[in-house]
Amino acid sequence: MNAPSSQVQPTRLRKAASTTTPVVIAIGVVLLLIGLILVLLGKNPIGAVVELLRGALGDASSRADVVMFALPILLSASGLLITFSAGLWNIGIEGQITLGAIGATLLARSVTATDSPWLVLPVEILLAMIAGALWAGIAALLRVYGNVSEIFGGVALNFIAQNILISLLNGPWKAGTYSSTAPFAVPALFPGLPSTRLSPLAIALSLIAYAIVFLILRGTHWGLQLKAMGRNPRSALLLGVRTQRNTIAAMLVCGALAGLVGAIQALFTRGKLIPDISGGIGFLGILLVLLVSLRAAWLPLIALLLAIVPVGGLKLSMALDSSIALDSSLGNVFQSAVVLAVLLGNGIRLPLTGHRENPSSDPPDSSAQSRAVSPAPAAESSVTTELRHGG
Amino acid sequence: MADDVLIRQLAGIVATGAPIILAAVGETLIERAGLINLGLDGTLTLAAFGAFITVLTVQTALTAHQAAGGLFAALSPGAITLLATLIGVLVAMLIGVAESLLVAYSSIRLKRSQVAVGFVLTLLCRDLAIFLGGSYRDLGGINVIFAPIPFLKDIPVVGPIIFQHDIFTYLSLLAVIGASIWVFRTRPGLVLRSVGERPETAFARGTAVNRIRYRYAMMGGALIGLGGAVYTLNVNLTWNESSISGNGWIALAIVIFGGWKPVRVMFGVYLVAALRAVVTALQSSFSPAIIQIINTLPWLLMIGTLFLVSSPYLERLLYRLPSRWQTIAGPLVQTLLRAKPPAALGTNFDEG
Repeated sequence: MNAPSSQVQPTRLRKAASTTTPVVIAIGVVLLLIGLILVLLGKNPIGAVVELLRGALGDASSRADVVMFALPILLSASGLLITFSAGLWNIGIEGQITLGAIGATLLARSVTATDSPWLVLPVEILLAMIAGALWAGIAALLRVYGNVSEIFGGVALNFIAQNILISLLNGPWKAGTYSSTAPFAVPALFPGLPSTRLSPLAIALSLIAYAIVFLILRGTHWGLQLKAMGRNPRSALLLGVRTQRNTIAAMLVCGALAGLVGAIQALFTRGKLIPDISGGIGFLGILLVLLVSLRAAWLPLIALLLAIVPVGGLKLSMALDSSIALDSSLGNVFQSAVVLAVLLGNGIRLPLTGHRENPSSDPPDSSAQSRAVSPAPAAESSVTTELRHGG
Repeated sequence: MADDVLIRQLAGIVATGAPIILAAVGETLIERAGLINLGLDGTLTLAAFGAFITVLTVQTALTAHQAAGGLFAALSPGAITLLATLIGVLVAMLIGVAESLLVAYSSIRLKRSQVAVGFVLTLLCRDLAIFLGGSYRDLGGINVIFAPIPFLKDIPVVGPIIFQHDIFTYLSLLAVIGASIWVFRTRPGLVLRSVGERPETAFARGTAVNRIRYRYAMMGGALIGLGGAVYTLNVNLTWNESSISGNGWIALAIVIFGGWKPVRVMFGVYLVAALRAVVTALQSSFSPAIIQIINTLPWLLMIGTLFLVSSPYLERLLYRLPSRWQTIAGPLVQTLLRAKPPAALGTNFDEG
């Protein structure tokens, strides 16, 4: 463990190489496999990739789309970092985003063109965050007081949220023939930069939220408590961490950020409330956190890379040349395949290098169906040691 | 003839429950061995599509062959259906086995989180099914192999409910009975439970823990794949991801509600299927907005039942009862409404 200082440089280099190599190999393998499928389907894979990149990065407005697509992913992933660190699988994030959008719409649909955005927007955002947090709170309470795994509670709450949304859009909030609300009045919307599709407010809110989460996990005692819970909830409890309260708090924070995502989706990306308002962004956030294995510093960059695929994929699905025209669902396949390959690739590295990697770079392995604690570890982990001395 | 309607409803519940029963029993076997396959929902969708596209392809090929007077000229249309269905089911089962093995391998060999791998797999399988199957949605061409059982089908009430179905529905009932006997009444079942409860002890007694886990991953995966096939080949008679996805999560929750016991799992499935039948019956008399709210009932039931079997409140309630009642109600609650997961569920076991 205690490497001599002269070896620090090469060790760090080797460590960096050993972190990135499996990722690069994993992406390569996935690209090869998908290329093979495309060839079998009679498509031109290289042309498709070139077209996808051109579609996403070719001009300023597409690049703005990529940024605006990456923001909600980054925001969801920031919230999920909090819950994942505490060992919680907040799969209910999709429903929390949906509720956030509903919360924002509560006010947005009655806003008129003469209202002041300075008054309206903060309230909308607040409503969205409260709604998202409440939805997450249900899952948290079920988990803490009912022993219901947050995974199953979350999945059920996702479906329920979706049904509530569609019910509203087919009933009281329906405008016209389609199941959606009428477009919101301008003061209700996030202001956009003229002549681009960028929203400085959304960018600022997302980056601030990310920075706060980053600092919480890096430098606060609460962040340390969450990490200890993620490693070993029983040890954390024995060390005086109030695990139940922290579970609820972590879920509330994540739900509030998810609600903010819903607000951005409804008040900027779509400009109205539509049936598929979250668009799978919450799940993309989960994939992103798994991809970076809880290393918060990588989030913004990888979120941008992830956003290239759907933005370019949308252009690809509209391509006139049939040899590269592909359904945009292939982008989803690519994203989850890469995450799976990286997950497995990180494991394959173990037998190759012969030693177990630092478990902190692993997503937490909370038992899905019980609060069963893994067998007591032989040695106290560094986090719990730090917690004992720090707290 | 209100009785006829009721009997037909009950028979419908038995038939529509079949795929979820197969998937949930498969998952029960996997979880009894200490593994969690959270990819169930996506696997069902992909396996359903695999079975669908295979049956259509084989049927078309065989019929074309027959028209050309080829090798299969002697086959009757019924035999073609049977052959195509068999191959389709095999493909679906292979998909299920492959997915389950991947979860097992990543846990046992690669020491990855089963929850993470399973969750990513569920997204991957669903997206793959949507990508590959996008242009085949809602196509027809599936023939049901209806097979009422002689003699038994004539029993009043029970006959029409249980013995007048297609083969897949019988398979779902056989899976429940077989798995129940296997897990609780045989020696290999005892080994299976020991691997899921106390892998260290089982290992010390000479059981190859991880080999057993691989074996049940394959067995359970095959049942999950079969469940997917039943969706297209029996329940929906076509393929569409929207009518399948979500059911895998219900199956996963039912495994918990069923306390990892196949018979209780079966009743859990019928409970959900009955609720759905009620929801469908209500649909004609309400506006679309209200129907969406009614549609949340199965999910509310899922949360409610999980809360019922996992929360500590039932015991607390029990202690309030007079002691005479406690001795009667206690064991009843324990066997019917408590769910204790296999102790080693979701953990990795190092044989080294």
